[in-house]
Order: sequence, then structure tokens, then C-alpha cells
Amino acid sequence: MKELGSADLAVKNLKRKPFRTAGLIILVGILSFVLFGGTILAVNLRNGLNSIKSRFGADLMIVPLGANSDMENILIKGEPNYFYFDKELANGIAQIQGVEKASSQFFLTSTSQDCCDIPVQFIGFDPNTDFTVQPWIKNIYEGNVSDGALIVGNDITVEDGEKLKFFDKTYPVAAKLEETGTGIDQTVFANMTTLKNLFYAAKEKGFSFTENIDPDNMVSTVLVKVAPGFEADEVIHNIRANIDGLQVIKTKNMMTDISENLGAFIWFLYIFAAMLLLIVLIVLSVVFSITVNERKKELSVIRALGASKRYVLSVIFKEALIVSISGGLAGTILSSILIFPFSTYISDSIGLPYLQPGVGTVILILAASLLISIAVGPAAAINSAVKISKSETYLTMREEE
Amino acid sequence: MLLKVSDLTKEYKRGGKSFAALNNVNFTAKTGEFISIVGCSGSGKSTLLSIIAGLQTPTDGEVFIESQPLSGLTDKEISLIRSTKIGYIPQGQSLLSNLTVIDNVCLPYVFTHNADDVKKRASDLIMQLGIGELSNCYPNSLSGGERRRAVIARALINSPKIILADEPTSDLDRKNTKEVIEIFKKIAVQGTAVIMVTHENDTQSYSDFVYELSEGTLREVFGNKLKL
Repeated sequence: MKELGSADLAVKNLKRKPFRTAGLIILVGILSFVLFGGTILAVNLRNGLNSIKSRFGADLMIVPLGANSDMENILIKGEPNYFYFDKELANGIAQIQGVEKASSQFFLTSTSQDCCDIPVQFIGFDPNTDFTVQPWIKNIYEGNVSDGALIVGNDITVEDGEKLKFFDKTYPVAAKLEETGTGIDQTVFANMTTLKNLFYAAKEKGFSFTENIDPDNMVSTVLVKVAPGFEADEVIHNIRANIDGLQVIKTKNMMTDISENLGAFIWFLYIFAAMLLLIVLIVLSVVFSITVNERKKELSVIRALGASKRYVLSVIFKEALIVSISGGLAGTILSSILIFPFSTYISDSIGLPYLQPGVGTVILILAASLLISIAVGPAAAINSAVKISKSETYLTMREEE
Repeated sequence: MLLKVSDLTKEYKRGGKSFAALNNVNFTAKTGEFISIVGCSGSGKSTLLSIIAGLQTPTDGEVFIESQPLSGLTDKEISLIRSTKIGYIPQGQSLLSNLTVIDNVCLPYVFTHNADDVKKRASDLIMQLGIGELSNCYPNSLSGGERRRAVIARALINSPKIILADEPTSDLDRKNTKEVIEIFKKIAVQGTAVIMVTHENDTQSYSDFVYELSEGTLREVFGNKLKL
């Protein structure tokens, strides 16, 4: 038969009040759920923001009037879209004072119909002038992206060397980009020649979005790098002075907007977690105090039978630990079950860049969340433990008679 | 000498004034002696037992167990003495309600780990005390007499040298009272000193010594062994 240690005694005490124990475990579970889930969420969002910052080599993006939010949605949320303006307007941008580099891109979308494997956003770049896509692609693909080859975003489920079908024509996948946590993960990059081929294939299939569009004379956006010694606002002013009918997006402003939204969201998370921690501490402390008060005589009897103060305290702290470990593990596991498999859904719902950290960071966050959740129980039991250790065993026994 | 209580005084404060619950109490106990301490309610009997058990510190005087003074010992050391040398039977219902009879009986063992086969010993004790079939029952399903037997078994689990029983028959009927006192007598005969405080006066025929405690002062009223 198993012997009865202080941990067994703690378990038996907890089992005596199953609903109270379950309530306390749930409470700690909610705390660890919020701590772990919230921190992972915050870190993912920060990673996403950092990722998008590092990917954006352009200071300015020039799009047709009213297309600024569409542009943001393509880049941040991965919502496929297209818009065009006259290439003539684009050609003059490179000559404007303060523009160091300018490169145009052509956008296209595939469809969910049978002619296409998947609905994606296409971005066609000009290999001769591009200064944003190719430096990044170089990390995973050496050499120039040849005509007909595709570079796919990380969320697109296809391996290098495999082929993808768009508008009933197949294209080899040259490489898959690393994860960014942005709309770029659902984007397919190709050079302008390939994009034009895709466009004409779509036109051949009779898709209405190809009507009145001439890919040889139209572009979707012009990305601009500001020359050293010039301010972005100064260059925007110069562009507006020279070209009408276009909208200039300052990348930094777009990042600031995202950053502000993200900052507010993360602050809300931290304040909520801190308040929850305080509430859990107070509730646990009150409940432990009531529990110990109810069992004053019992604990005094244990003392009278030969238990040291340390043993009695260990029973109290083990009860608290069992509650907080159970709750901490339950909350973390539940949080993991919801956060990791559904990260794409969460990312889409939030509408902000969302990039999962590496395993090491996840383990670190997991350990920290668990540690805080587990520490909550014993911390809440300190008051009760101090009271019981100060009480006179004999007098307590007499009080309860 | 197994137990020596020397010039023991315990003062409490009540309403800002101090009063002596025990006043210069002296007595000794040897192995196998059955000592009854009688006295009316509030006479200081339970206070005396709690000080002997190291649960309270006296205002003055000393308690020696096997010549070892309790004063100056740490909580850990006193707890060790209480669990290895003393079997304490508190007043009233003192079984832990969430533990079965056998787990209650084993409880003092876990503080010391000095028995190799505690469950076997606990079962034997429970059998000897006539409640063998109640081993796995919880205290709330036991009668007053059965609970008292379980508490006695618990006090004996670590083979103590002294049993301190605080009003062990206060809530029992005449038949159970007699049975419990006979158990104590048997324990004493087997070599354990039994010190029982009670407000009943019909324990004389079983006791080697009977002391009366009145207003904190102890006096011997009966000494069987002396007579013999």
C-alpha cells in the first residue's frame, strides 16, 4: 500500500472540495492561457512588423488615386487585387529630383476557378530596375529569375521544382520565399515577361479583368528609393509637382500606422494580463485563506501528532502548487492548441503582419508563462501560511472545540 | 525518569490581567505508569498536557522527557520528540475527515518515517482495538467509541513511550468509557506511560496515580503503587 506523504495529504484536501478546486484551476488556467497566448500573439505581431520593415526596400510607393488601401491590403493582409496606371506617367518618375531608384511593378490575380491551382496575388517586377524583390530573393535563389519561372510566398503549398497551373498553363516554381507573416506569403513573384504571359493567358480564357488593360503600356505601382540628402516629403512634393493623378504612399507612414495599431493592441494585452494576474492573486489568496481557516483545527491536530511547522506549510504550499501547476499546464496547452494550428486564421482576423517566432523563443515564452502561472498559487498562499505558522497549535485546537 | 515536570507555571492574560493556569506543578512518570489527572473544567489539565507535548511553552519551569529538557529545542526537534516519543490524543473529534481510518492511523508515521511497514502495523493496531472492519471507512461513518479507538491506534502507531490523552472519554457513554480506559490500562501494562486528563473521578481503580488539578495547583490524591 502507498504511504501517505504531504503531497498525498494535499491532494486529498483538494479532492474534498472538488468544485472549489476546479474553480481555482480554471482561474489559473485562464491566466496562463492569456499570458502564453497573449505573449505569443504580441511576439508574432512584432515579428511580423519587423519582417515587413526589413522587406521594404522602398521609401515611397506610387499607385493610382484611391488605390492606397488596396496596396496596403495586398502587402499586409494578402488580399489579391490589381490596379493600373499609364506607364508614361511612371517613366518620368526616375528623373524627378530626389529619386535615387524607381522600379515599376505589374499586379495580377489568379482565380479560384479550375483553370488555376490556387487564387494568388502576382507581382511582376522589372529585373533591370528592381531594387526590392531581387535582393531579398537572393537569400534563397541565386541567379536571375528566368522567364516563365515563379518565386512563391511561404504560405503557398508547393515545393521547389514543382509546377503550378494558372489560366490552364503550367509554370515551374524556382524557389519558395521565407516566411514574412505578411501578405507577401500568399504572393507569387515573377519577372515582367512571365507576368505578361500570365496576363495574356487570362485574356485568352476571357477573364473580364483583362479588358482595356495593355500590360505593355500600364503598370500597377512604382517603388521609389529616396536619394541620400533628400527627405521623403520633399520627394513626394517633387513627384506631385511633376505628375498628376497618382497617389504617393510613404512607406514609413504605413509602418507607423501599423506600429501604432500594434502598440495599442500589445498594451491592451499587457494591461489585461496584469489585471488578470492581480485578480487571480486576490481570489486565490482569499480562497486559500478561507480554506486554511476552515481547516485550522485539522492543521493543529497534524501539528499535535508530530508534524513540524515546515510540514504543515508544505501541505499548504503543495495544495497551492497542485492548483497552479494544473491550471498553468491546462491553460498553456489549450492556448497552444488554439494559437499554433489556427495561426493563419488569427493572422487573417487581426489583419496585421503576423510571424511566428522560432522554437527557442516559443519555449522561452512557454517557460516564462508557466513560471508566472505556477508562482501565483504559492504566492497567494503566503498570507495563509504565515497566519497558520504564527498561530499557537494548542490554542487553535481549543478555539475550534 | 521517563517524564519529569518541574516547577511548571503557565500564565495567560485575560482582560489585561494575568492569571496562572498552572502554578508550580511538579510530577514524574515512569515507564508503564497509568496516571490520571482529574479536575473540573478550566482547571488547567489540557494546558498541562499541551506543555508536556511541547505545543505550548511554559511561563516558568521545565519539562524533561528522558532527561532531555524541552526548552531551547527548535520546532523541528520538539516535533520529532512529539512524533517519536509521545502519542498525543487531543480533546474531541480529531480524526481528519478526508482520510480513511487506516490513513488517519498512519498519519504520525509520515512525519518521522521510522516504521518499515506502517500499513501492516496500522492494520494490526486497528484489529487489536476491535475496529478492523472499519479500516477503509471515513470518520463520519464511525460512532464515538469507534472514533476514539481509531485515535488511540493513531497515538500508538509510532510506538511512543508516553501517551498523553486529553479527556479521551468526555463524549462517550459509560460502556465505551470503560472499554477505552481498559485499553489505556492495557497499553500501560505493555510498557507505555499513559497520562490521561479527565474530569471524571471513576478512573481510580485503573490508575497507578491520580492527581487533582485545581486552580492551577496539582496534588496527588491517590497512589496505587505507593500503597502496594
